[in-house]
Amino acid sequence: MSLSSVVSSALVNGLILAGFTGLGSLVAFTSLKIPKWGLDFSMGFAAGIMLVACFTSLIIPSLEMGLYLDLSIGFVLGALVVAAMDALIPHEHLVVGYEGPEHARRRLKKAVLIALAVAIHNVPEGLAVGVSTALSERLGFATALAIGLQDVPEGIAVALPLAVLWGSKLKGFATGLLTGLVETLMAVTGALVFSYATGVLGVGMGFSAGQ
Amino acid sequence: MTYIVVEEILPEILHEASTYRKIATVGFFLGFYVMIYLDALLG
Repeated sequence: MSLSSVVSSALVNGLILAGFTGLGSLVAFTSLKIPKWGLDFSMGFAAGIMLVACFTSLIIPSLEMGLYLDLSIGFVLGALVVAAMDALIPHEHLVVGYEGPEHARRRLKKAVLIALAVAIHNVPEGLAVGVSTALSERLGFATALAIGLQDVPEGIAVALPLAVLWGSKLKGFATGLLTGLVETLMAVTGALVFSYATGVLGVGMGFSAGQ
Repeated sequence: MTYIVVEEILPEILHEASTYRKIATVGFFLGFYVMIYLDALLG
């Protein structure tokens, strides 16, 4: 595969992710109330998708290529990087509550903190799509489709509270869409980096899986 | 994605204050199946 073909496929796959998030964010324009059980269901759904995507799109292909050490190094690095992001970036979960530096807690509104939590969550998802696209365009598309499905409730979870908080449906929608565009950016970045640096593709696959 | 699932999502849905843990578990199994199905279909 040529570099431009990989990058354009990653862009399309990344836009699929942003499109699904944007679809969920459209709920900001309605007076729909999402029940709590719906959010719990969608979080479980996201966990199921992500766990299998780790294996089918990243871990199994890299093991089949014999990249055991690269995968292990990348896996540990990915977990360490996202752990650092988790500790340093202020964000809020609906049930577990606030995480991040204490001094930033009162400076940011709760809905903004929830949006940041989703944005952190979207970094490895976008990267996983980019890296799997660098490996195979079909694999990248399958990963984008599956991750995109669970992006719809994520868009809802960001756009709805922000629309209420800011009193602007457009701002709520735009912020929801923006968290989806984080995935597009990461997908293109992942595909670009690991198409050039094919020697460390296994590290990249481990990195995305570990995150 | 493993860290995010283990550290961010699972504690959120399995927290004792979470009201609909069983529904979240059903969601997990459905997500698990959908991804396996999509991988078999498109991968």
